Amino acid sequence: MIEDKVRLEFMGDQALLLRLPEDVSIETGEALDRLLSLRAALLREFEGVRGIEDIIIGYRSVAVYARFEDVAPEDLLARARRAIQGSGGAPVASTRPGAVVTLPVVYGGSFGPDLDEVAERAGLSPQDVIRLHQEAVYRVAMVGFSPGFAYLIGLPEPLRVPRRETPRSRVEQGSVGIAGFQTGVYSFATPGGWQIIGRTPVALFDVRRSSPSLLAPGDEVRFEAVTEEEYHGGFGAYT
Amino acid sequence: MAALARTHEPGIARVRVLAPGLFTTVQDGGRPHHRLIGVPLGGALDVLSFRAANRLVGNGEDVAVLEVTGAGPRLLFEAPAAVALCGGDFRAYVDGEPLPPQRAVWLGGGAILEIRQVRRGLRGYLAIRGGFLAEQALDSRSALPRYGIGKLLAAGDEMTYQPGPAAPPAGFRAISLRAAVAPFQVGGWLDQIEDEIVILRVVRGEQADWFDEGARRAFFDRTWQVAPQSDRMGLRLRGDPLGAPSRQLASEPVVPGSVQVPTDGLPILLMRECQTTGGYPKLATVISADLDKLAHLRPGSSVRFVEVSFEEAFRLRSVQDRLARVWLQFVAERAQQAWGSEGGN
Repeated sequence: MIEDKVRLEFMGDQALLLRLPEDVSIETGEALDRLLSLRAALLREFEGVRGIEDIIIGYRSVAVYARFEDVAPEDLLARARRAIQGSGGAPVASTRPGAVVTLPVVYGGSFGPDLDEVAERAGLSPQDVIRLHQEAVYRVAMVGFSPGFAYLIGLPEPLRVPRRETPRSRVEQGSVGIAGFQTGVYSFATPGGWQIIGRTPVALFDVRRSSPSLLAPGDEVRFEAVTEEEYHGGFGAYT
Repeated sequence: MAALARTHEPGIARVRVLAPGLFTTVQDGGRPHHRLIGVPLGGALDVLSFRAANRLVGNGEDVAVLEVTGAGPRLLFEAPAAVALCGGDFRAYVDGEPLPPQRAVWLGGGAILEIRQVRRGLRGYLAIRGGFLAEQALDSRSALPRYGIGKLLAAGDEMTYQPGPAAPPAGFRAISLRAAVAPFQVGGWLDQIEDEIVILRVVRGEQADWFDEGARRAFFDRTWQVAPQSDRMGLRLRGDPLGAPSRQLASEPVVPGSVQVPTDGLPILLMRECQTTGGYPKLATVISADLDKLAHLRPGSSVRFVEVSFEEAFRLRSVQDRLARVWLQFVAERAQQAWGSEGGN
C-alpha cells in the first residue's frame, strides 16, 4: 500500500505536508492522481474543522495550512492519517472536474525566442517541435511560482530539454516555456529560466474574473497554433 | 465591540495623497484561502502592530490600513478622522507639530499628517476608523501590485474613508488646532528589534538533511546581513555562502519563514508575501512567534539563527497568541473608553 509510505512533516508551525515516496512518478501523472485523491480525502476529513486555511498540491506533496491557535497539531496529524487511509477509493480527476482548456499560441519568432534552440537540442525541425507540442494533452500538476502559473505534465519525450543556462531577468506574460519534463505558461512577466517557444494572448490569471485562475490542479490543457494576426485580434473570447 | 464594527456608511470622505512615501500600500489580513491557485498570503507584515493600530481606532483586527516603509506619506484629510500609527518608530507630524507615536489620534478636517523617516524598525501601520476603502479582490484589500491587484500609493491619489467624530473626545490632548491624542500609549514590542543582532528562532526545514554537517553548522554559527535586494516576498541574506545540495527538488509548497538555499549558497528568507511553492531546498523555517520581526529588518541588518524543536515552536506560538489576544483586548478596551460614546460613530 503506497498510502502507508506517505510521510508527514510539519512546515514550521504553519502547515502539515503529506509527501509521497520518491518512487512515485511525477512525470507520468501517477503522483498527481494520488495527490488529487489525497486532497479530496483531506477536504472530507477537515470539513467544518476550524482553523484550516488551504489544502494545496505540489509535485509530490499536499500541504494543509492551518491556524494552530484553532486546531491542535496532534489533531491535524490524526485527521491527516485517517485521510491517508481513506484516500484509496474512486479516482478524482481534478480539483475542478471537467475543465479542458485550449490555449492559442504563436510559436517561434520574437514570441518564442528559444524555439530554434529547443529544436536543435531535440534534433528536430522547429515545425516538428510545434507539431509535437500541439499534439499532446497536458495535465496541470500544480499551480505556483506566481498566481495562475500552471505546471503542465505530459510533454512528449523528444521535447524534454533542460532549462536555459542563464535565466532571463524578464520573461513576458503569456510566454510558453519548456523545462525538462514540464511545459507551462508564464502568468505574469517575471524572471525565468524556461526555454520560451511561443506566447499566448490568454490571461492565465485575472483578478477581475469570477474565477481568477484559468487553470487549477488536474485540469487538462491543449495548445493550438495561431498566427500573429489572430493573436492580436481574434481571441477576445479567451481573455 | 459590535457597535464599533458597523459597516454602513454615514458619509464618505477623502484623503488626498500629497506625497506617497518610499513604499506605501493598503494592507489587511491578506489572502489565506487562495494558495491553490498560487496567490500569496500577503497582508500586513508585522501583524501585531497592524492589529494594535486597528484596535486603537476601534476597528476589528483585520481592517485595511496603510503599510508604510522607511519613510511614510504626507496625507491631507478632508474631514475629521480617527487614526493611529503603530509599528516602527516614525517621526510624524500633524500640521508641522510632532505627533507622539503608538496612540489613538483625532484629526480635524483639513489636517495634514506627515510620516517622515523611521528611527527604529522599518514598517509602520496607519489605521483609520472604518478602514481605508480600497478595492477588494479575493476577499482582501491587500495590494499586490506585481499581480495586478491594487497599487503603490502615488502623489495625487485619493482614498475614501468614513469620517470620524466631529470633535476630539474628552480627555484627548490637543497638539495642534486640528489634532488631539489619547492620553495613553501602547507599544514596547519594538524592544526586540533594537538589538544589534536580531535572533531568529527556527525549526528544521523540509530538506535539512540534504545539507552536509558543515553547511548546517555554518548556517547557525554565522551572522548574516540582509541584502538590498529584499522586499515583501523575501529577504536575501549576505555572508559566506553555504555548501548547497546539488539534488533537484520538485517544486513544493512553502511557508513564510522558510529559509531556501539556492545553488549560490546564500539563503533567502521568505516573507508573508512569498510565492506559494518553490523548488529550492529549505534548510530551516523561522517560527511563527518570530515572523513579525522580519517586517523590521532592513538592508544591512544582522541576523543569527537558533534552532528550537517543533514542540517548542508550537508552544511559543500558542503562548504568543494568548499574550497578543489579552494585550489587543486591553488596547481595544482602553481605546473604547478613550473614544467614549462617539466611538461607534
